[in-house]
Amino acid sequence: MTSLDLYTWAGVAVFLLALHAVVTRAHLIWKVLAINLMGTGVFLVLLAAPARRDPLMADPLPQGMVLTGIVVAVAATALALGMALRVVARTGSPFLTVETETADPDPDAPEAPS
Amino acid sequence: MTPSTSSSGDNGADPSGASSTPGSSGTAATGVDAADVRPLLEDDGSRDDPALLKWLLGLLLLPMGLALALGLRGAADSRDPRIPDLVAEFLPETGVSNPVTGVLLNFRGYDTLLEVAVLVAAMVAVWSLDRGERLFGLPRGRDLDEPVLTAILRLAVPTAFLTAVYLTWLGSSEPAGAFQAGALLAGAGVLLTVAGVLRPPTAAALPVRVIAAGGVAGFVVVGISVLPFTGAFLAYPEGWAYPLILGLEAALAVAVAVILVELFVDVPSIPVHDPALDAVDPYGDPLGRALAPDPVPPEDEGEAS
Amino acid sequence: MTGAELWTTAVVFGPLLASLVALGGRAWTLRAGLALGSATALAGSFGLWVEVTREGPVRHLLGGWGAPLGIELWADGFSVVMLAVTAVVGAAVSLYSTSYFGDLSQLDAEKSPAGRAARYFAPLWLLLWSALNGIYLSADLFNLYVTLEILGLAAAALVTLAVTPKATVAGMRYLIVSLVGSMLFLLGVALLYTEVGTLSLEELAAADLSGSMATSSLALMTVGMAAKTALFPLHGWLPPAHAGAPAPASALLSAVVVKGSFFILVRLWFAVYGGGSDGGLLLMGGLGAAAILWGSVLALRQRSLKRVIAYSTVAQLGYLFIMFPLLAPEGLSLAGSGEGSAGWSNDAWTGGILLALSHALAKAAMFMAAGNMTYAVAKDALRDISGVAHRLPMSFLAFGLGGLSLAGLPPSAGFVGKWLLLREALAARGWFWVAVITAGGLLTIAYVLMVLRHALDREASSGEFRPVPKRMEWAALLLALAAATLGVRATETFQILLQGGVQPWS
Repeated sequence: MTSLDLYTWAGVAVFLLALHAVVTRAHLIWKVLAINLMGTGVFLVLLAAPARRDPLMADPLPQGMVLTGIVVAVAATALALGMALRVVARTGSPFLTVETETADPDPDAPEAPS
Repeated sequence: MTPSTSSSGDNGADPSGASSTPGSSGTAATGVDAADVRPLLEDDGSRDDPALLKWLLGLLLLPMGLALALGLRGAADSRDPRIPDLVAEFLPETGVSNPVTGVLLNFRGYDTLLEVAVLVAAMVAVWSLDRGERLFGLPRGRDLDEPVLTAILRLAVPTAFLTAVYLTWLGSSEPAGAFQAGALLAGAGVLLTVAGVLRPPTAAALPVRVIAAGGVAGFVVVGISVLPFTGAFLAYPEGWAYPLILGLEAALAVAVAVILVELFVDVPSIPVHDPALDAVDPYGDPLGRALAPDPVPPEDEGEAS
Repeated sequence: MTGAELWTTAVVFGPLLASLVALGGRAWTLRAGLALGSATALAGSFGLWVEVTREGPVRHLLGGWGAPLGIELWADGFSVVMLAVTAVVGAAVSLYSTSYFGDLSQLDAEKSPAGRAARYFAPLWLLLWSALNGIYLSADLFNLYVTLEILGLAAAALVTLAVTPKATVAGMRYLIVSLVGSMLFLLGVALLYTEVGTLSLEELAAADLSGSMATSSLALMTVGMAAKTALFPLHGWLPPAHAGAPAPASALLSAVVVKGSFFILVRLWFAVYGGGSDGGLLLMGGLGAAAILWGSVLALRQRSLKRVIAYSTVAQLGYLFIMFPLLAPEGLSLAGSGEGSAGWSNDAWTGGILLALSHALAKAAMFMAAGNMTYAVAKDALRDISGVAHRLPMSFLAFGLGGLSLAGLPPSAGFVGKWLLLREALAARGWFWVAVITAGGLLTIAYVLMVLRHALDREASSGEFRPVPKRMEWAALLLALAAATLGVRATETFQILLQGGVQPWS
């Protein structure tokens, strides 16, 4: 076990903790933050895990991947936050409403005849 | 973000910013103050999945994590990487001396192009979201009234600009480059915006769109124009690599900065919800036409009713 | 510069540039962008078709660098047919959208929801188109991730172009699912790179992928892509999103967007991993079967037209996953393995992909027809569309033809695809699959007839009827005719699909 393994394991741990949060937490901002954190976890793994022959020459490909990934994550988080705020504005609640799956909620139950 | 910041926005007259324009049946023109939204964002965890499910999921993920951790143990030492050798071998042909820059802007330039396209996509997507009042910006003619903030701005912003230019140029030989510079510029832009000195242009003004699109457009144009000469998209001709890369980095830095500041301004400008939209049939009338009937274009009249 | 470079460049960067044009903010820039995107995508797709027919699979070394140092674009039969169907559907829906949203020069883009939708549909869709074409051509794992992100962000934004609270929630849920899926995929990429040391799909195909790291990687990537393709049980996000979006967006989402992640799954499982494991293939097929049955039954229970069509998408995507076990050399079945064809099953390969193509054409037509009906009466409940069909006979016909293609009636492409899958299932003695395919077909007929019955109901609807622009009706009808008659021209599709085949890099 090298010290690099600690980073790799940290990355895996962060990823799984964040995945757990995305699934179980109901609040939208929590979910968005957790998705961002999943990305961070993957970046840690990408930087620490791939092979290294010589401590002075690092593999530039994962570094490039992480740089690209950070920018992509920022973009995605921005949109997700924007959408989350619109959900709060439109529904008054920061939680996603549960969709009933088995049948349409009756679209026009109390409506007067057209 | 305090209420006073939003009240110094475009209309100025309405401190809470939460009223809708009288008489409009479409989306209101003004926005919701962040302070109004904050209570809605509280979470005491009561809506989360029940504790049992949380524990079950945790028990499911734990062995997965252990398996991954074991599998990745010592991964860094146990394999022989090929890519670094290939990079070292071909780096001199790329026109830059930093291997990561070589990867990002030459070997895998296509990914960098797409990465900026992701930023543009996010920006266009945020623009397509309903928007309320823009939250920042001093009314015209008002000077910033705060001496400490002004002093900090006078120090920080020019330094940021200079450093950004330097970072863009430095990218060819050291870890630096377009995105780092763009982020720094964006930071300066955010600082100026929050201070109110920089007035964000109203919704997606043309110069913003041109600059933001310019990053991707420049990349694609360069890529296509070298096609007849070198036979592949974005394959820099002999001797042109360094200047093209430098030019692209500069364009990208500016574009990234503009996009990031634009995102910063647009994401939190929350619209006021028009309650009339709740009554609209969500599948029959997704654009809410029943509320504000659009003029039907005369040349497109379909069959007579 | 050969044809490969020219056409692949056109097909990826044409729509990308067009999206920037469409950001111009004027009505004519939108039309110009859509026209430019459609033209380059159509020209590039069919140019590549000719090229690949003549020379076999072709590649384009981006930046002049070959893998694993650089990124390559790769076009084989599978890529080409997906590009072509996306181009045809995309051009039709682009045309449709110019009338659906109304004239931007007469709408206030910032104050009216329809105006904002009119202004931003074109740039978002063109970005999406470019990304989709990029996915079909990409031969690099990380490149797939970045293009997937463009696809996901643009697609979610297309849903929220609709301003109702339901659509906003549906779009948010879609975005979350999409991003989680991408993150799972990216972790899979990280693991695979750690294990093998390359991102090139071709080199990965040649590498030994039997280790536990590689298997975990495939599992992660599969869960991510399955979520994006709405494979049962991760399908819950799809009906509200596809039904709640504006009609052109619904058409694109169901027809082509979900095919992107499906394409990646097929490439990973067969081209890179060489078929995965027998258990895995059975699992995918089993989930596909569940999707067919669950989706079709739920479609029957819906009372809203667009939701019927959306649940139909969940069901039809299930057929694509039944292709997985049927492709396998021994023809797996739940009744024990039978005598399938040696090597990969051509029937299953061509049948499954033909189903994907026919679904794209038919579903886009159906959503556009439904969009015409809702455009006319602003109502979506099944009982409210009766009488509309009499006033919109072309749209009604389009819906019917699309539905018949989905149900698998000749001479539609849906018929040929289902027949090929059935033939392979019978040859492999996979009775379970035969039963599911047949039951699915019957259920499809049931819910299509359900909608048609409501539409044909003599009772005319009262209330406003907004005249539907002719081009919207024509777009729907032409795609539906294509879906209904493609079976006749299926041979060309077969020939091209065998260029490269299931494992182009073996």
